[in-house]
Amino acid sequence: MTNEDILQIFFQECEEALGVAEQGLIDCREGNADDETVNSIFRSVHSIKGGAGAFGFTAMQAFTHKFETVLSFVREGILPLSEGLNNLMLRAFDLLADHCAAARGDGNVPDDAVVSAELEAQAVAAETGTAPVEDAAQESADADAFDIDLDFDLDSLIGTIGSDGDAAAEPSDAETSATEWLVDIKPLAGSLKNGSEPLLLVREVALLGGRCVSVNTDRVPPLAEFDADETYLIWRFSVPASVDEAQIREIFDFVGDDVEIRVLAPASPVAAVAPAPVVQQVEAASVVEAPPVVEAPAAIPVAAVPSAPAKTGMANPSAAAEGNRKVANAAGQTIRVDLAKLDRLIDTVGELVIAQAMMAQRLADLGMSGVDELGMLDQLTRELQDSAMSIRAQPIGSVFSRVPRIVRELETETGKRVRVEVSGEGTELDKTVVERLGEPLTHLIRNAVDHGLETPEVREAAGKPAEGVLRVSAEHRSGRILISIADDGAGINRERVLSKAIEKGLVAADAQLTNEEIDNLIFAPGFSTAATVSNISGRGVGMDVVRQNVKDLGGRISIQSTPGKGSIFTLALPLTLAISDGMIVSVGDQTLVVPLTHVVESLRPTEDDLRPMGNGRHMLNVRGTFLPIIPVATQLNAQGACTKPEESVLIVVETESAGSAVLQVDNILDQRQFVIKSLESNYKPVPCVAGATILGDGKVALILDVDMLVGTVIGSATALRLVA
Amino acid sequence: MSAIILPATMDKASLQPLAREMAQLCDKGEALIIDGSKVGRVGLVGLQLLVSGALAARDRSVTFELTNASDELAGAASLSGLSSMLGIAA
Repeated sequence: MTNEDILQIFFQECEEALGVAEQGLIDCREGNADDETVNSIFRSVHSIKGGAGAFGFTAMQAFTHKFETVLSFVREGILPLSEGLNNLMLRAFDLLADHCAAARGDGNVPDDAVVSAELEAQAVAAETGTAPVEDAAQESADADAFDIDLDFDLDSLIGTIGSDGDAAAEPSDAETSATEWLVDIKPLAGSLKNGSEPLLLVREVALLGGRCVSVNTDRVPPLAEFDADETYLIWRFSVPASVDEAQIREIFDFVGDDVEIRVLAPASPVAAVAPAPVVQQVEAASVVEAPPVVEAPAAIPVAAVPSAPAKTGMANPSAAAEGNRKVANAAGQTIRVDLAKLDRLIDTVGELVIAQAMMAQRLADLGMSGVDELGMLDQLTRELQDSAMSIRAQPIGSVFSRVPRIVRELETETGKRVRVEVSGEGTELDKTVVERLGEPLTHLIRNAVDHGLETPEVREAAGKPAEGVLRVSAEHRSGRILISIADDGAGINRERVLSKAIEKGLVAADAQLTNEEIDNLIFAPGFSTAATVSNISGRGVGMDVVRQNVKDLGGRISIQSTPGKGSIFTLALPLTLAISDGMIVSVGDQTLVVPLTHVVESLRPTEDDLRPMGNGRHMLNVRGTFLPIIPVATQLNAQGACTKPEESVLIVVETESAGSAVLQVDNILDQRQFVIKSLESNYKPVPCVAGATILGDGKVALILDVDMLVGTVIGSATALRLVA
Repeated sequence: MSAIILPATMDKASLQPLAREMAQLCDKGEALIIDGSKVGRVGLVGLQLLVSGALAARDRSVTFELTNASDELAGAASLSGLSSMLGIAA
């Protein structure tokens, strides 16, 4: 494995860590955080810091260090999770993400000066509760130590300190931290289970050259409340900097959540300040304990504690080690594969699907369609195809993970307050779809916040909570992925949209449009104007481009909007771009494929269902609504096709750009999956044709571009629709 | 004034009676004189009990004295940074 390979692994781990950290920070902001949430954020940031240092990303390392410092104070409960601190940590997270991106070569190293200063200020604030290190040491000697130990045997203690002089020579916590690791060890009750003995862990630390700097006895209860099944002591050990951090953590590999540990790097400013309150009092003890403890490592009688070795005697690893092990396990269960290899596999499977269909056709021609082996082959082919597709499948979470940041930025820019609710992050779809989904999704979110949600003042005036809600969700439904972006804002102002469309000449001034048609006008090219698009949602990408992007993905976008209650934009996307479901139809001498995504229903009309419009054109009455009938043969110059609608098969289709319409074909031959082949790359773009596929009989069939076909014929979505 | 003699093995079973005994002495305002000479095995909970006793003695302003600490006890206390608190010479 080359360094570049390792670097790429680091970047991937950064992404994973950022994902964990961001979710944790969101939980913190929403008040759903517990100790483990903060721990997980800390571990993630710490992990990135470690890698940044290893790979020489010094700016990122320095920044994560400051971030980590604040997180450590939060973890210890010294810094309460106030709204301000949550916001600061989210901003720090955004910068950390930028640092990671810069390390990948994606953008410049961000200017983190402001946030760094704020993080440092928080750290200082956390320290304010305790005196500076030197003072603390003095205070320990002057007050705390006396307070604790005075009643014991002050004279002997002072005598001890004075007699050997080691206490004076003992480095202070700060001095120690400059050159040594600081390891905080807090055994929990579980560490006593099954005869396990936390002192063994302490001994292991001592054997690394560690020595007890302090021990916190704050939690030790009165004798009457003493419980032999509980743990009360918390230690801080210093370990020489020459010891590898992994060696320290390794000690706690198998004790899991039963022991909380914190390892502070030698250069850590956290270590350089007075310790947190939780160990503050213990520092006093450290002063008086110093002389005997200095000798501890060599003097430990191993037999003094139960003899099970530390690494096998404990039940579980530390939380940090647990996290590391999970990562390691995850790494062990996955392999990285060149995408090109994957694409070749998908192509081959596609060819297999075609070959299988051809063989089925051949056997059917020979009257052998009922052969058992054919059924087996069909099933296996489908399973293989599904498996191959699933390899390319990625959770949409990678796209959704951008949402909180986008919204945070929008909150800052607009002054609006938004609560983001994301669901279905684990929904998987094709990698290509995931990659190309980012831009339209981003625009829809910007649009929802910028145009959909109201300002807090307006919302409150309307009797709504000041904080708007943006729900982003994904789910599988009927072999497709539905992605919804819903807001509880004001809904589409249809009056304004319609007047704007009339002003732009997009619809006739006297056009009678349904609410749905008015809503869809926002997708019309050229609809976006300075009046309706701010610098937030109007960054050169109109909603028409969003719709085009979705369409290019083989998907569709629809709107549901209720005045005063909000809007829902729904994207219906295929699971994959390589294989789709289609209706095989015949039109004269042509065999065509109509993608099922557009098909609503198909029927053979009676004469009563049809209404002539002149020029040989007809409308179809579909339960009270008349839709234009489009003879496909005419549009594609197919020869020998049936010209009478009443003798044809009519397929009701929905399109994004032109609403609903009816395709007139001769017959429906089959409905099956088809492998999409690009006509553009193999031949040239053909109007109204989205691509080609190979049918079971080996013939090439054109895949209809239903949107373009309908749009070409009827012009626009608003052009033709009569209410019966 | 008699000393409490710590058992050879300061396991969980032996600690609760010891805790009660130490508490009773404290409540009476009597000094906690503890003999650690027989201790052959002591772990975290045993040390915690001694710390609790020391703190109780401090709170009641009575003497806490751990005498004749065995090497095992002294070693564990030293390892844990508790020698001074327990009055055990390193």
